[in-house]
Amino acid sequence: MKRFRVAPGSAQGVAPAIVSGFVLFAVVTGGERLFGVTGAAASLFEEAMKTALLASGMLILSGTAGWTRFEALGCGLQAVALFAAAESAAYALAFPDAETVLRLAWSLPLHLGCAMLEALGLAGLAGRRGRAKLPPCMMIASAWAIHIILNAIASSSSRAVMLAAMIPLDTAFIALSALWLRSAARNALSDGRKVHGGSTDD
Amino acid sequence: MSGVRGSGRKAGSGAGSKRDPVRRYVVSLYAGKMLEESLRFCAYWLLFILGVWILVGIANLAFDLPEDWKRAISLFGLSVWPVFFFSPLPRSRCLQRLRSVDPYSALEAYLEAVPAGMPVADGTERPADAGPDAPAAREMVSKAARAAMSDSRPVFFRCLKNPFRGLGKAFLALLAALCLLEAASAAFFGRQSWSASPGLRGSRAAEADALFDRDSLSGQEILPDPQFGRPESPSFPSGEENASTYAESDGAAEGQAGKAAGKKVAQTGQAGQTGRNVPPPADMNAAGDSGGEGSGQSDESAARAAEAESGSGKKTGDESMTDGSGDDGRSDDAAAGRETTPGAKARRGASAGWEESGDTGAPDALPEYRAVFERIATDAEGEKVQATGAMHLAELQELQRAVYAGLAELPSVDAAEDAWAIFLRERWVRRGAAR
Repeated sequence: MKRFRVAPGSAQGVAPAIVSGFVLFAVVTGGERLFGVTGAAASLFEEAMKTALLASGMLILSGTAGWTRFEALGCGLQAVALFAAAESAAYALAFPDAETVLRLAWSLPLHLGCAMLEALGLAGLAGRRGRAKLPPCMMIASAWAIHIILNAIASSSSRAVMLAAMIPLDTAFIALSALWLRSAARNALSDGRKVHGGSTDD
Repeated sequence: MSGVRGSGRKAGSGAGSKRDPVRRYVVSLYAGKMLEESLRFCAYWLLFILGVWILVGIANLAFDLPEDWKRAISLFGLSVWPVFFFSPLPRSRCLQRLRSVDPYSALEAYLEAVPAGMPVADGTERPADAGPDAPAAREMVSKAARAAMSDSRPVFFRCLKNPFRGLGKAFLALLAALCLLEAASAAFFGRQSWSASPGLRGSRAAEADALFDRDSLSGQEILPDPQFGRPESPSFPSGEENASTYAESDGAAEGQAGKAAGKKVAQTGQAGQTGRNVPPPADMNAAGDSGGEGSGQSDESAARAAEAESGSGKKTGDESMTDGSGDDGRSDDAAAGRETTPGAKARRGASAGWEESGDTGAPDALPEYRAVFERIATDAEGEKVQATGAMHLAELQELQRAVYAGLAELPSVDAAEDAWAIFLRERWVRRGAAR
């Protein structure tokens, strides 16, 4: 395959994330309309599409553009962030009231948290498992299950239950973000070891 | 080596030990660089958010967009911050700069700066011949740098590498506090705006639930009766009940004539309210049913009601439904000599069927609820369920409650419910006509 070089630190490096984020939104909403999926099936469909995007991004960008695994997965996470933002905007158009602002504290952690779990799982599948407690496949499956459960809470519970669930959700999102940064930093340190010839405690 | 290391050094304080000043120098070098890069990262992040908001502001100001679109664009701008957070661009740049720190040359410069005879690492005197190029000095620097890097990297990356220990805990706690603050502020401002919204009075939601037991309706599809009856929900009173309620409670002379006439009175009474929660005057009902002289009505809707009534023969409700398309209405408008501009038609209500029936534009009764009604009815029919994602049902239920809370503030609960039923019916007619 012909190699093309797009540096992750360049402006062109952001383009794949922008394009794939909006494509993901179009595919998910179009697919849900087309197949008429609702409820748990819709959650599964969304997560499957997100996992597919992250996996394909990792394979393409690290395979042909020379990105590291985490740089490629980071690009996929950017795309998911754009997907979540586009969904929020669509929601604001459909329901133009202040509740959509509150919804951000729920939908962004939900989408990005699940995507981070999937990304960590995919990174584990592609390389060594490291110190991860969960097997990679389990991480991906748990991301899908979490989305279904939280959707069920959002659909059937009262506002109070939802607000109560928002705190552990957001805290888990923060922990996942820290885990993600930790993995990305380890990855970067591995590169650093080559540069300096120094040792790390990894 | 011998020129650098003195004989009097304490145990554990040589090159590579934590007390070694050379090593501490390297660690501080990295620490300073890490702090600098962290601040740079935060500054970039803030610049990114600021840039997005400037773009959002320009888009909202420069283009004459509908209000809904402005809100949607603003919300989009509010939710794209993770794009920077997960971007490999700034992180790789920062790490690149960190990796570009060359402890060897830095230490060489340090050693060069130390004059001969002054104490260097571990308190020993720097020999005159121990310049940066001296093998002993290079070895010392190399050892110290390796040890410092292995020791100092966990310091720099502790919050990232070990988020559940040491500094990582503080990092997590800070993020958690920010997150809680965000959730609390979102809840607060969301609630504030919700309460301030004219058509959505969330503070009355509990009252409305208590009145109507609306929870039993949550998640149910509220569809109109294809025969133009009331919605199939058991919570809605029947037309007969409603008619008798209005005929009795309003005390209009014409309303006493019969249940069918009473129902007309109820609809006409709603038409005069213009959504401002003004109790319908008794004479409005009378005027509406008696052909629309408009006596005693000072507001615009009442005048419109009289205008709509004048010169047009009455039809039965069902007749008006069956021929209630906009086109039919237009020809009737012309025949009746009424204003036929789109604005006038919109004011008289979207459904020509009700308008032509002489009911003085019943859909105009609750203009501030109309958009919400439209959304709820659309969603109840499953048209937007897939487009708006996971939160749809819960939000829909909230909207339903909010609408009912708003309806509860009308002077008559039955009138509010009747307006909802009318809305559904005329919408059904409109859709039927479109087919």
